[in-house]
Amino acid sequence: MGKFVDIILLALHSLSVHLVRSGLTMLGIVFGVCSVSIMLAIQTGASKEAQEKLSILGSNNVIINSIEPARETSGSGRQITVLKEYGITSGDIKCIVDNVPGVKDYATVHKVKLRYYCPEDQKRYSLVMGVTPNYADILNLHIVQGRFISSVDMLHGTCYCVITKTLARKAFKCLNPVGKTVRLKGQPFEIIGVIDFIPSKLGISEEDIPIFIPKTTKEGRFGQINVNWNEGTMIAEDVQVDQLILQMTDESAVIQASPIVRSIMEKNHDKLEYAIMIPLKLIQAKAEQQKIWDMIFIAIASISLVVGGIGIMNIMLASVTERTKEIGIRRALGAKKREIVIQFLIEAMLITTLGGLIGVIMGYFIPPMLKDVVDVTPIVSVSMLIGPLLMAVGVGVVSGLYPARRAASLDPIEALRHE
Amino acid sequence: MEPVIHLESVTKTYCVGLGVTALDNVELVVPEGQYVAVMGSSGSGKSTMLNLLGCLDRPTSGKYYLGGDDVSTFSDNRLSETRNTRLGFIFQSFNLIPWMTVTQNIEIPFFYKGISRRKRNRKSAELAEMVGLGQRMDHRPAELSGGQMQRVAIARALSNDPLVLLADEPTGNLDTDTGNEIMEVFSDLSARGKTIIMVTHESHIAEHADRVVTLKDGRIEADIMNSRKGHHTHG
Repeated sequence: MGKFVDIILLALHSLSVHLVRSGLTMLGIVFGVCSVSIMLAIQTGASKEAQEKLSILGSNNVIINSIEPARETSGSGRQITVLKEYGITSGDIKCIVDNVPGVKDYATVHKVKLRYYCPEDQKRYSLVMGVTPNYADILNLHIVQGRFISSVDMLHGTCYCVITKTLARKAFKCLNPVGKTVRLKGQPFEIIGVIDFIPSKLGISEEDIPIFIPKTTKEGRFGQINVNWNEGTMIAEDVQVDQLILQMTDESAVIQASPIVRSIMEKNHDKLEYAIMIPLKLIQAKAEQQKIWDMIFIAIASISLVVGGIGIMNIMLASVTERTKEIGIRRALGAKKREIVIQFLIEAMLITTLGGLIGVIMGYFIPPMLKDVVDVTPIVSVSMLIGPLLMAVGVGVVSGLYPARRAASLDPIEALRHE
Repeated sequence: MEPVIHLESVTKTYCVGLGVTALDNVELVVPEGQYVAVMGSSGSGKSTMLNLLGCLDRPTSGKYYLGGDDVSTFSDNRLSETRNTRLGFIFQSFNLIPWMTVTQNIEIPFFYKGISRRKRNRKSAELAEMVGLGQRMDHRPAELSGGQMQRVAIARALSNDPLVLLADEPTGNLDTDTGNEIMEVFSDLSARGKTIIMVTHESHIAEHADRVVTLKDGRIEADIMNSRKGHHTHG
């Protein structure tokens, strides 16, 4: 053991004598390990963010959207009035709820685009969504201020609304929006709550300015048929339900339910006027995709470390040639082949291990600084850095072994004669 | 008494090309404490003989008894151990490791013997003192004169108290005065009973030895006890 420590000290000494060369050789490993660690941190961060975004949709949910079917070319565009009737019907909902096992709850959404006005913001269009009170629970919406629509609101068809934080910030600046009034198509609605944000992939974004009102209020005040005027043509859309969100009991129920839901919808509609979205499947697909990215990433990382390793092997071979005489002297004075192998192997391993340590330390402190540059929050942990460090040590063994063995196999007589 | 070195019909051939016989059926017995000079022109086989005696090489045939052990059958590891514990080498070009200090060079044999760091430091300092380099223990070889470097090499060769001291043209790279100084050291060691085998091609150097063995074409041509020894030690 004492001898082993001695050999490590000897290797350290020899490296410190050739400081510039050792440092430059080390640099390859430092950057290799550092970039591996940084990429790992960004990758982990990005992956976690993507998973979180998707899981907001709820892994236990099945979402069905009404979509306008591809228009059939019947007649020319001279019509004055167009009535479009499509999408999910209340019949579908009944059929699904009655036949699909494992449905815990469901929420429906009716959308209408309306002019909205509030004193603090100029007029513009908003996407008014008539929802049921359980909408917030099913989608795990986070209520920042006030409350969400209640069943009492549903019952009475009250003129209350819930807005998003983005709108609240834009329209009311620092003021508390709860209790303020917005006008939707001229009608006053009192703001009762603010939600954090709308999950993306739900088919609506913050730019649409979603405003939530009770479903009954939507039907009572604005009717079921949405009418739009477009270049002199009146387009009336009759969509019973824009979005149906089924909350299943658990993830296995989601898997079981998806083909049943699909077949029910296929039976009830001949046209493709609906889209079924299963967040769980998206999450799983994302995880699959992640695996592929991880593999690509590992391949790239290995390449950079292999390049570093080749550099070390090259330098070690040059070092063995340069130190042939030293090897001869050591052999003449009683060094065994094994001891020469260990000496040179340890030198290579010290270079990569020290380089790996520096790289890992850099890889620990650099990622948090990149937060703004890469647009994700990189995640670093000590356990995550063990891998790159071990890889560096491994590279040292692999790239040091051949030069070390070559050093040991030199004929001592020839080595002594070498100038 | 058992001789320190006993070569028994040792032959060494190199299998390169047609097979050159470097040593041909050599018999040599060296009793303890003898100071032997090996002479011969280049290609006479004296380097080969020194390599064999130094356990850096094995004979093609014949036996080599070192202190009674047949080392010609030793494995590579045991040969290393033998070099480490029973032999001391002194070379023409000193062969010090350039990036190590005087004491670090002296302690190399201790290093491979597995002697503890503290003991190594103490012993190497003592040896440096002994060869008159007490003031230069932390110098690098490049900072020393040729004579000083050879003194370091001698200290290193003596560190493990070897059975035999093997010297290969120890004064070849030194000027006459320094060479004589080094020869004094050898005579001194011989006087204290150390067995020395020294390869040289200069007859005035060989005159310091008790016995002169002359090689020619791989055979011992002459083996003469040096009766005039003593007259030239202070010459």
